[in-house]
Amino acid sequence: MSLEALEDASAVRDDEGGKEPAGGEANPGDAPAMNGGAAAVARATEAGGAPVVAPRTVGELSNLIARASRDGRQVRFIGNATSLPAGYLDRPVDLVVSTRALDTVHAYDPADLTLTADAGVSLGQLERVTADQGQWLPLDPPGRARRSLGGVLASGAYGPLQGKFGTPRDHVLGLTLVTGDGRVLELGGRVVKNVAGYDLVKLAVGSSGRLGIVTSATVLLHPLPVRDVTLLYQTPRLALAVVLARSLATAPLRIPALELLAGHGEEPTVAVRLLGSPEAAAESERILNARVGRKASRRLEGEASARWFAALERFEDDAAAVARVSHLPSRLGDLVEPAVECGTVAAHVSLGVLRVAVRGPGASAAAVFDALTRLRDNVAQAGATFRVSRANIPRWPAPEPAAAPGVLALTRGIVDSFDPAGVLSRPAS
Amino acid sequence: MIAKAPRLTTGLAEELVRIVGDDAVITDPARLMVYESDGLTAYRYPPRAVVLPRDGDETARVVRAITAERVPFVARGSGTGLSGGALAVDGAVVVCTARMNRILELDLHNRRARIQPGVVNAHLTAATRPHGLYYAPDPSSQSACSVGGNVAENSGGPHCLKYGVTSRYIRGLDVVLADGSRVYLGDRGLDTGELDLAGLFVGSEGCFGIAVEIDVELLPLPQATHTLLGIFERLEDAGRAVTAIIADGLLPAALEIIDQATIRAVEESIFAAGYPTDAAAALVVEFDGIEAGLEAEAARAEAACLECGAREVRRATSADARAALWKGRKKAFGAMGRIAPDLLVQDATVPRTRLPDVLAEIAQIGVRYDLKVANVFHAGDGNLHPNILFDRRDAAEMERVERASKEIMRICVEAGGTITGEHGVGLDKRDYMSLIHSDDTLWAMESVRRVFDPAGLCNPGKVLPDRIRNAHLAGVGEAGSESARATVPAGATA
Ligand SMILES: Cc1cc2nc3c(=O)[nH]c(=O)nc-3n(C[C@H](O)[C@H](O)[C@H](O)COP(=O)(O)OP(=O)(O)OC[C@H]3O[C@@H](n4cnc5c(N)ncnc54)[C@H](O)[C@@H]3O)c2cc1C
Ligand SMILES: Cc1cc2nc3c(=O)[nH]c(=O)nc-3n(C[C@H](O)[C@H](O)[C@H](O)COP(=O)(O)OP(=O)(O)OC[C@H]3O[C@@H](n4cnc5c(N)ncnc54)[C@H](O)[C@@H]3O)c2cc1C
Repeated sequence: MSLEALEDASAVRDDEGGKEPAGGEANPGDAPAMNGGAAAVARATEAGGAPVVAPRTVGELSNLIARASRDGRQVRFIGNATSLPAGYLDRPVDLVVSTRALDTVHAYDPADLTLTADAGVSLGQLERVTADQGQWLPLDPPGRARRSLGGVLASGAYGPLQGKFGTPRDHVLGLTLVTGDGRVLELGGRVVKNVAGYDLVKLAVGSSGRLGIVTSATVLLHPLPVRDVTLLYQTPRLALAVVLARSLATAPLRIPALELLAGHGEEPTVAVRLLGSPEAAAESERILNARVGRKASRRLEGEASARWFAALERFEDDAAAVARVSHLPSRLGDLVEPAVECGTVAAHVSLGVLRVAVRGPGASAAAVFDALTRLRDNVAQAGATFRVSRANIPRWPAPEPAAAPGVLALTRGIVDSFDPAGVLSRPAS
Repeated sequence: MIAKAPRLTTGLAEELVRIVGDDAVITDPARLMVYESDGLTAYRYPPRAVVLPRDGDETARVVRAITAERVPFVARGSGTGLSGGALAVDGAVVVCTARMNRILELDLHNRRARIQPGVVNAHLTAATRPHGLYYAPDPSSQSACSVGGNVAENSGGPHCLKYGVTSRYIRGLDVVLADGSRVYLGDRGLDTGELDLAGLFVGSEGCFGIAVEIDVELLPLPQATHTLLGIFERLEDAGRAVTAIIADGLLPAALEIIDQATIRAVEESIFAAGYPTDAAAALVVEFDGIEAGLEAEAARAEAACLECGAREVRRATSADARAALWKGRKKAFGAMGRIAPDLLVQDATVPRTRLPDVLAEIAQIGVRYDLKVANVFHAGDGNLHPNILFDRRDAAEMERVERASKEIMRICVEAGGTITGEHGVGLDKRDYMSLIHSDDTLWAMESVRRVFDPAGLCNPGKVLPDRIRNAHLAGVGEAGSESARATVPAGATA
C-alpha cells in the first residue's frame, strides 16, 4: 500500500513491530507468547506486509482511519498485541494501528475517584499512579499489568475480581472512540451517574475493535482495601472441591473473588479473596469456615494475598490454547470434570465461567485441536457455551452456537453504522 | 401542553381486541386521561389508545399489528418517569406493561430471577427477601415504578452509591422490536466477542423496543445496617462531609442530602420526621454489610461529619430507629407536593467534589428567578435533584422555571457534569443534549436507534433533538452529520 497516508499522519512508524511498550511491566521470561506481542505483529507484517503505525494524537489517528475508510483499506487495531483474537491478523490487512504512542494520563482526581488516560497506558502504569493515593482500579484480566487500557476495554477482559467489582463495562464512565470512518466520538462522561442518551459506552466496551478504536477513557477508581486476605481450601477430590466452591458461593456474603483451580499440578483448590476492613474480613472468614465446616488449608494476608492472585493473572501466559466455557454457576459440577480432562482449569465460581488452558511441551497443533474438540463436545452435552479465546492453531471453526439471527442482524446493523466502508475487523467467518 | 390524538382505525381496534381481549384495550377518552402524562406533569399527550398485553407473545402481536399500520407506539410501566419518556407523542398507542407483573422464575441457586417487566421494583425485593436475597437498585419511587421502566431509564437509587445502578443487575432481556420480532439480548459483554446489546438496551428509554422478560441478578441481604443522620448549619458543610467521608476511604451504601427547604416542607407536613427546621441540611449516611466492621466505619463517618461542622450526629441500628432517620429523605417528594401545586424534579450529576460550589450557584439561581428550589439528592454520586416548586397556571412563573432549569443544566455541565443522572432525557431534555454531546455523537445514537427501529415508530420524539431525527428522515448521507462529512471526504462510503 502507499505510505503517503502514513507519512501525512506523521505518526510513529514501527516496522519491526512488537517493541516493548513504554512502561511495560517485566514479562515473565518464560512466557512463550504464542499468539502475542512481537510474534503477532511480526506475523502480520510478514503476511500482508502491513505497516504498523502508532499515531501520537487523536487527530492524526482520525485522519488516518478516515483515509483508510475512503480508500477501502483494511485496518486492524492493537494495543500491546498480546491477546489478539485467534486469526485476527491472519487475514489480509493493509494497516495496523497501534495505540502505543497514546500513553498519557490526562486527569486524575483522587477526591472524585476518577482518572482519564490514553488507551495506550498499561494497567500496570495506572496501578503505580493510583497506589500513591491509596486507590486502585479493581480490574484483573489475564496479563493485567502489561495490558493497555484500550485493549482491555475493547476486549472486555476481566478476572476474578469481577465477583464484586464487575467487568470493564462497570468501570468505565466515558471514552473516546474513533469510528471506522474517522469520526471522533466522546461517549459517556466523567461522572458516576449519567443517562444522557443511549449508552454507546456499553457498546464500545467489549466490541473488540469492530466499531472503532478506543483512544482514551475515564475510569472509576476505588479505595485500596485495608485488609486483603486469601483463603485456599484444598481437597484431594475434585467433586468435593466443587461442592465446597458452590457452598462458599451461596454463603450469605458478597465474596470479591472466588476461584476454583484444578488440573494445575496440585490438589484441587478453592481460592477466596476477602477485601475490606479488618473486622469484616475476619468475620467473613469465620462465616465461610463455619459454612464449609473446616478451616482453609492456607491463609495469606496483605502482600502475599495480592501476590497469589497476581500469579493467577498469569494463568493463560504459557498456554498453547485457552477456551472459555460458561453456564449457570450451579452447573459448575457438570463442567469441571470434562474440562480437567482437556487442560488446566480456573473457574470464576460465582459467574459460571471456566477457563481451560491447554499447555505442556506435548501441545502440538494437532494435540491442541484434539483437546479443544473434545472439550467442546463434552460441554455441549451439558448445554454450556464454549469459545476459544486463543490457540496456536491456524484456524478454529466459528463459535458454536452462532448468535441468534436477530442478534446477528442487530450486530451487523450497528457495525455498519460505525464502520460504513467495512474496513475494521469483522467477526471471524 | 395538550395535543390531540388521532383515533384508531376500526381494523386495528378490532385486531387489538382479538389479541388481548376487549377489557385490555382502552379507547374511551375519559379513561385515556390517566395515561396522558407521567411523573413530569407539565406535559399532556392523550394516547390514541392503550393496550395492556399479558405476556411477551401478546406484546409481539400487538406491536406487529400497530406498526403494520405505521402507527407509532410507546411502552409504559407505572408512569412514574420524570422526563416524559412514556408520553404518547405523535399520536402513539401506549403499550402498558401493568398486567405483565409476574415473577416467572426465582432461581435461588444462581441468585437470579426471570420476571415480567411490569413487576413493581419493591415487589421483587419483597418476594426474594424471605430467601435472604434482594434486588439492589432502589429508586425512591420503588413502591410504584416497574422494573421495565427501571431498565428503560437505567434507574438509580440511594443505595446505588455502593451497589451500582440498574445495568449492573440485568443479565438478559427478551425484547419485542418495532416490527414485532422477538430477540434475546444477553451475555452482558463478558469478553464473548458479542456486542453488549443488553447493556445498550438498558437506558434506551423505550426507544429500542419493549422488554417483555427480564433476567435480573439478586444479591444476598446485608447482615446488618448502620445509619447516621448528620445535622448541619450550612449546606456546603454537608457537601464537604460527603467528600471527607469518601476521602477517608469509606464506601457507604448511601449518602443522601436534604436541604433546609426540604426539611421544612417535611416537618410542616403529616410526615414530620423530627429533623430540626433551623438546620441548613441533613446528611443521611448508611453502611451495610458484615456487622463486625460497621461500628468502626460509622464512627469514622461521624468524626468526618463533626469535623466538617455538623452540630449533631444521630445514629441508629435497629430497623425502626433507622426508618425514623430516613423518614425525612423518603417523604421529601410527598411533602413538597403539599406546599406548591407543581414540582419540577430536576436531575443532573456533577463531580462529587464540585457539590459545594454548584449548590451555592443553584441557590443563587433560585434567588435570581424568584423561585423556590428545594434540594434532596444522592450526594455520594454527585447526583443532584434541585426541585423547583411552582404553579403551572402562572405563565410568567412557568417561563422563569424554564429559564432557571436551563441555567442549572448549564452550570452542572460547566462543572464537568451531565444533564441527567438517572431520570433520563425523555421529552424534557432533548434540547439540552447538545450541551454535552457533539452532533457526531448524537448522530451515532440516532443511527443505532435506527438499527433497532428503522421506521422510527418506537417511542418517537424522545431523547434526541428533533433536528437530528429530521436530518435522518431527510436522508443526510451515510457518513453522518455535517461535521462528519466535513472530515470524511466524499466517497468514503464505498
Ligand atoms: C501468550 C500470552 C502471554 C502473555 N503474557 C503476559 C505476561 O506475562 N504479562 C502480562 O502482563 N500480560 C501477558 N499477556 C497478556 C497481554 O499482555 C495482554 O493480552 C495484552 O497486552 C492485551 O492488551 P493489548 O493492549 O495488548 O490488546 P491487544 O492484544 O493488542 O488487542 C486485543 C483486542 O482489542 C482490540 N484493541 C486493542 N486496542 C484497542 C483499542 N484501543 N481500541 C479498540 N480496539 C482495540 C484489538 O483489535 C483486539 O481485538 C499475555 C498474553 C498472551 C496471549
Ligand atoms: C417520587 C419519585 C421518586 C423517584 N425517584 C427516583 C430515583 O431515586 N431514581 C431514579 O432513577 N428514578 C426515580 N424516579 C423516576 C422514575 O420512577 C424511574 O424513572 C422509573 O424507572 C420509571 O419506571 P416506570 O415503571 O414508572 O416507567 P414509566 O414512567 O412508565 O416509563 C419510563 C420510560 O420507560 C419506558 N418503558 C417502560 N417500560 C418499558 C419496557 N418494558 N420496555 C421498554 N421500555 C419501557 C417508557 O417508554 C418510558 O420511556 C422517581 C420518580 C418519582 C415520581
